[in-house]
Amino acid sequence: MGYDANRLNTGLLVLRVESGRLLTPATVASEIVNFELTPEGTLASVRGPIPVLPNYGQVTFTYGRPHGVFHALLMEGSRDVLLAHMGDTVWVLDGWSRTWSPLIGPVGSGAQLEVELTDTDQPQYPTQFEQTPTGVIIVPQNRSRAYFYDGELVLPLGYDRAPSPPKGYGPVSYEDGVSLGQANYYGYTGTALWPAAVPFGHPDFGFGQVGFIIPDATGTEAGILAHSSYQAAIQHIDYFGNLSPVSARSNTVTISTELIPLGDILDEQQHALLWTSIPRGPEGTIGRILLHSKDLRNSGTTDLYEVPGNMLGGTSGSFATFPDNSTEFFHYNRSDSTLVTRTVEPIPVPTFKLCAMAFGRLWIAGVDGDPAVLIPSMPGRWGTFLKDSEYYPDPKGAEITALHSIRQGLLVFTATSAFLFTVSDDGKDFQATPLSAIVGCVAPASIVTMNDDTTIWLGRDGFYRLDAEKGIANISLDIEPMVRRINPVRAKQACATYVPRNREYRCWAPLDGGRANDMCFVFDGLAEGWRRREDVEYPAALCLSRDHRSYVFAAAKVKATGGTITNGVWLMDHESLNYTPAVRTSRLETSWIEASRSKDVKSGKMVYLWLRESENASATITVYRDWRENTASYTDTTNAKLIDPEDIPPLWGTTAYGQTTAPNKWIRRRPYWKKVSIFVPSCEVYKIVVEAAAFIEILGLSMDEQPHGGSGRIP
Amino acid sequence: MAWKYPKTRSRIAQPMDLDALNENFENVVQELQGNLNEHNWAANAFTDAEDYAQGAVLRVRQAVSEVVPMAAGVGPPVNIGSVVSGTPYQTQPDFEWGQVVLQTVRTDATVLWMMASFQHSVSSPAGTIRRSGIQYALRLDGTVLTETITGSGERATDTNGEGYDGDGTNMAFVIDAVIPVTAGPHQVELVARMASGVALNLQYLSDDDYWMILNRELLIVEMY
Repeated sequence: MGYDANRLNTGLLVLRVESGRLLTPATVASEIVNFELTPEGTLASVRGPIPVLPNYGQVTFTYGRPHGVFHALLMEGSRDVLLAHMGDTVWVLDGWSRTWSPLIGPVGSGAQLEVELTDTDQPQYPTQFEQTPTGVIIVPQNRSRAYFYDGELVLPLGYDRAPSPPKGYGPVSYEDGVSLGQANYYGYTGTALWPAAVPFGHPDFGFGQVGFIIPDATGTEAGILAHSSYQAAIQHIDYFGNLSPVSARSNTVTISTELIPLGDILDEQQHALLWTSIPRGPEGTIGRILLHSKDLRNSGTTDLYEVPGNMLGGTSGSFATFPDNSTEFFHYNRSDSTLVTRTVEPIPVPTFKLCAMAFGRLWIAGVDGDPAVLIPSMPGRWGTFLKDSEYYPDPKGAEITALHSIRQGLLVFTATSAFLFTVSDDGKDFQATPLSAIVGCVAPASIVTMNDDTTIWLGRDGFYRLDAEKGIANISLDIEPMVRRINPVRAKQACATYVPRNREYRCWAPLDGGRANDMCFVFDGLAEGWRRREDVEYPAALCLSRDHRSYVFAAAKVKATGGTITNGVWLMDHESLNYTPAVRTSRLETSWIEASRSKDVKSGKMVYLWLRESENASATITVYRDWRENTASYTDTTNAKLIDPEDIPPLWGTTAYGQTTAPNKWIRRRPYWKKVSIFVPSCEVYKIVVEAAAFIEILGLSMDEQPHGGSGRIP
Repeated sequence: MAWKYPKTRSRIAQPMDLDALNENFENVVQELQGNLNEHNWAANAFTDAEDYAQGAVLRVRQAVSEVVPMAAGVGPPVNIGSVVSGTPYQTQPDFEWGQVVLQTVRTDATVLWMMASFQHSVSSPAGTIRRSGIQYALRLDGTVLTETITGSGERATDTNGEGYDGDGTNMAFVIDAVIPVTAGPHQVELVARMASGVALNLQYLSDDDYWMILNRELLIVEMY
């Protein structure tokens, strides 16, 4: 045995992040698995997960394949909503009833909205969710419609088709071929409800107001009712205020030229029109707007205007001409002067894959059939997208792969470029500023904004971070060997979240030939480096709760005790007595120590572990030498005690309630040193692996080594 | 349901940790301090007012005016002065909304359930047989809630004219609305206006042609 005087100590290694490089400082580990940074600055075993819906021993809830999960606070923060897209159903947690209620599901499922959602394992983005001030946008993938849920009601987002046009009736002229005296005589006819030929409309509705009267300058007649023509169209409005596309225009209704004899009152010579076949809207429609032209021949405009719901009697205006979804005819008796509001022209809501809220609008991209387009909604109408409002940010027309809202504006990504959308200088439009023509984003759910206002995402060749001042930088160069193993075909399904409790960015992605997200890359925002974890096997989606709890939910497959892997919705970093997850080993692997001096021979003698008491169990210390990672040089399974054996704290299961002898009081767990002798004679390099299935908390470690003279194995 | 999701599970052979214990209680305490929500209550948890303290979940305010319209065996009041007791509200012949009942509330951001119930009767004007119609509505912070207006309000497309034209029938009405409001003071009113009947003819309006709102109540529930 060598004497202490002949030993060198590595100094305290406070290992918090890892690197895949061969040559790294000893203060950076090779692997840190299933550890998280505690508020006290130590590394502790990860906890959990637990199922959001525990098994109460009643009916076991069976989940389908995980696609998405989202938490929202709706109804001004009073409605706590957890949504999960599993299999072919979007569920909402019904906490008190200890179950999930189907929100969107297949026909016959009893879901509030029964539609078919495609449940497939093909490479796809996770189901996208976005919170608006009034509800949640739900965007299942695979060419599904988007949906809107306000906490009570779910409907398709906006309208995907235009209504059919109405049919118009006007005055009918009796043409005798001689005079115009019979012009407009019969009023409108032609429906079962008003079959009779009625001059001047129906008396119950008052005098007509439609028509264009010109005073007769010659004085021969009182005036002339000019030849006029009108058209109308229909627009639906749904429960959430979204407008449908405008229907095609109706047939043209005409009023014939008519001379008004002297002595007749001009105001009594105008007419009324009848609009029928006014289409009812789909489910969710609560009103319909009649769009009407002014006199097409005399007014100088062919635009359509909204017919106000009420214009008489001083009542406040309603939101639609028909505040219902049942009326099919309308007695139109408006003068052109009451038509003041021009219609807007929405497009049918396309099927799309991506969305983000920015500038008070919902921005959508990944549109089927037009993957490069970016379309904003009307402000406040999240499902109403106007004609000719679209943008094509990438000049080469590349497919948009991700959207994310940040403080400065809206980030728009293709796989190989990035843009920042901001309000244009005149405040009336938006402009795209290129951020990179090389770096893009491949996984929309991988984008997360950290608490330091930087944004991290997964690009084609690594993780990138956008800093407002420093621009875009690759932050995963230290773990390049791992990043290169990300399955490029399925990288689009990667998902991430920010964990405010320990300022972590966690991103799960599929490695190698993996079909599911099987590796979690953890970026420590404090230590500016990476760790990894495997506490959840295959999360398809993650989300952070928006309330005081800051829960991280995962829609994932998780391995339970016994090895069974089950789908479910899980709460991470928590554990309870009614669920025991599979045993997770926490593993800390140092780099190859003394790699830079590997030509000099030395012997490893002692490992000093600086631990915090955590469980009456032992960690396993394994030593590897000389770049041989498969063969352990030395293993110790008993000496690295996870409590101080000379000063045992009170333990669950041991300390009796009311016991008078120490240890008998609640404690704040204490740090302590533990040394473990190792024997690694005459090595070039060595590394220490500390691992434990029990709960372990590490502050740091150091090693004693004894240098030898002469060189190492140099051929 | 923070109790369901403790942060740490205390396992056999682990130290009885002070911080872990406190952390487990933290979320529960936060919920009890005001973050309880529907996941903590059954759908029918509150079926009896005695289940919760006054003002704990719902805050109810009420404005009531009682009118005894007639003595036993006597017909309905023929004018404002013929009621037995109380003060009926009299509509004015100006077609403008008039305030029947007012209740001012100061709320947090919440949902208001406003309910008005009342009776009306009509005067017996001298020399006319046609009377105006009548409309009622709730008015919140000066805005008439369109959906609460009785009658269609649409002279051009409703064969009944703008408002209810009951030809003097004594009736009872209930109108209500559920509206989310912002935090602050709010003015809730039951309002009424005389409206045109079928004939569009305003000449019948006179000082002795009016509607009387008799017993009336405005109930406001703040639903937190």
